[in-house]
Amino acid sequence: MKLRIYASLAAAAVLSLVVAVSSSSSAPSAIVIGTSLPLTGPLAGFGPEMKDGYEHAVAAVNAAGGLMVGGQKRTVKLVIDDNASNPVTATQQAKSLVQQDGAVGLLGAVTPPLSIPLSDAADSLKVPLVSTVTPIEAWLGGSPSGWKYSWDLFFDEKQMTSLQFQASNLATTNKKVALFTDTEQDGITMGALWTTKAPRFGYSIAYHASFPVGTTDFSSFISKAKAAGAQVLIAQVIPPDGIALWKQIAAAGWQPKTAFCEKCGDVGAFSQALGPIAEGTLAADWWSPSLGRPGTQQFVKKYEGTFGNTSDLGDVVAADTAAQVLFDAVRRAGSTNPQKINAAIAKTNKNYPFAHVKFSSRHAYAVPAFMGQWQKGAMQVVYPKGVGHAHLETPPSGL
Amino acid sequence: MTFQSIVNGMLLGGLYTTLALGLSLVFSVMRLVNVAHGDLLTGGAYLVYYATTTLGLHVDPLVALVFVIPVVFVVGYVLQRGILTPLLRSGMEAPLVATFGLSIVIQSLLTSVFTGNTVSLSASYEATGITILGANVRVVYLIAFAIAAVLVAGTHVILSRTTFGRALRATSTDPDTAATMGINVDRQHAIAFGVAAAMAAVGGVLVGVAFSLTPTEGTSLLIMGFAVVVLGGLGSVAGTMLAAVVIGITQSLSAQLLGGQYADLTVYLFLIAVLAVRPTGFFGRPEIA
Repeated sequence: MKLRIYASLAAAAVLSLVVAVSSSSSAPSAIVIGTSLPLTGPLAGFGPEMKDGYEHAVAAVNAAGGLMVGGQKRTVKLVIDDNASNPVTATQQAKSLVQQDGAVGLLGAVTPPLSIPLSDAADSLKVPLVSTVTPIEAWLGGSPSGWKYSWDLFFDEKQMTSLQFQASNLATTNKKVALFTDTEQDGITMGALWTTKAPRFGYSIAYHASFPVGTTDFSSFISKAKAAGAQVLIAQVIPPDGIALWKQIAAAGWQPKTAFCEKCGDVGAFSQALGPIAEGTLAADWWSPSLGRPGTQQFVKKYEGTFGNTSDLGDVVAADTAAQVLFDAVRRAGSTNPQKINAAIAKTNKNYPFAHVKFSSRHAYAVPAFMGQWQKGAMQVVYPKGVGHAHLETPPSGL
Repeated sequence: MTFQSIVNGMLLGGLYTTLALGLSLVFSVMRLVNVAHGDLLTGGAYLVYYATTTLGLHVDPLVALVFVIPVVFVVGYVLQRGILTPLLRSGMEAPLVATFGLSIVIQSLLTSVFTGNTVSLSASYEATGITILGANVRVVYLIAFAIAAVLVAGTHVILSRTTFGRALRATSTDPDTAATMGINVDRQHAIAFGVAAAMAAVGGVLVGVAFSLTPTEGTSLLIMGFAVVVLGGLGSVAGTMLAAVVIGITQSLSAQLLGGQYADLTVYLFLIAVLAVRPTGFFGRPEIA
């Protein structure tokens, strides 16, 4: 009996040894990177582009054999969750990606309402997160004491909120502005910036409408803006609300000399849904093939058929760069230790397809924004004037 | 400007009526809270979007409803007969949960077919307005109000003056007795659900033309529908339209006088205040034990 027990124990020990040896000689496990994206819900206009951008970067890394970590190359596995544009879901998914899927780094969602809770989660989990398509000042406002593990590369509202006045200077207006901003963090931040900046550019805020996301009827606000004699319209709303707003502006017979739809007008769905009504609408943009950044033609060739316009393509490029920044940090750290990756992100200083990224001490990099306008179904650069820019169409023919 | 807001709110109430009428009908006939009603709204609208874009049916979205309504009616009929009717026999909880599941299924299907991008139904009047007594109003709101009035009047006439309507009310009041009188209760329920789904498609198309659509839009439309039905009195057709108009005016006036951030808050505070005084809403009747 005893002999049989000893024999069983010996067999088990040999088996364990074989398993251990075989597992140590197999391919190294993939490095898990996670992201929670708005693939459905009100912000779904951004999700597919971000997904494509992240997947593009992952495919490029894996095609090269993976990331060199601890002396051996390891492929990258990207885990993508759909947060349905819900901040609470995004937070839960971030925790699940790290604690259950074993993600050593996170890639961001879009816009402050999603990116701030995700950044909060990353900071509490002590796992680095690289975000984009999230205006910097609103994002920084989400952590007054400063972000520790979260990083953001996108335009700075302080620069971006000057563009509407600078572009309006190309038209002849009475310099009276109507502001339409939602009550999300970025709407509050940018609404305050436009209000502060208007006098510096010789403009005055004739009317300011503030409303929650999901508002459908804007009739009262439009009547007040018309009555105030505003000839410059600056709106900061999500795409579904922006589309509803633009239809109602056209129906009310209000034709501002310049009309900006920020956060809504730069997505392809805006032009597709509104058709001719979108013509002449302005929106700040951050990437255009005319900028001639590295890899431009590759992105245009691969994604032009899918997105059909440069504004959505810009989101793909931004997402690709955010992922590349994280992967480069893993390479430089030579480790999957989140603290070491985080320290390596701080030292980023490289030319990427989206921009030359170098983070400030506040964990942000400001990408210079420019002003685009929908002209004949394509987004054209109208400010600043430079190579390849188009002339401002005023008043917008769609309204 | 206040007059403008009142007129605008009243017409907007017409659109809200089309969101709520089907919900009210299903509740009045089956005592069922259909959580998937908002998704039937968007589902019908997306079918019209598919017909007028992918299938190349170059007609007005409201005209396209002629082709879509029979489809939506059949879907509603089959859903009720195949899923909800068997569940209704075991109480109200199971069908309620089933409609919740149905809501998720419809949203997922719409997202997978149409992506999560915002779409809009294109019509010649989507961005046109006219002036009535000095008030600038959207043509689509006027159309919505007219359609709502026709739907409410039609529903009232059918329920009160036709054999089918009397049978429907009998199944609502006492299904067991109605069955002993030879009325096919299950069939009546399925027809009511099909009609409600068709009404939802009308509301969804009006939303798609007036505003925009996303696959998950149904949830917020459902909330507005619930507010209208509860304020009007559960199951009251006339109450539904009155409540929708009152909500539209309250929303529009509060947006103008207090600011946009307080519009929804005012509407729901008003709803709570009315229910505190009259728990059954405008035209609801207290349940007799």
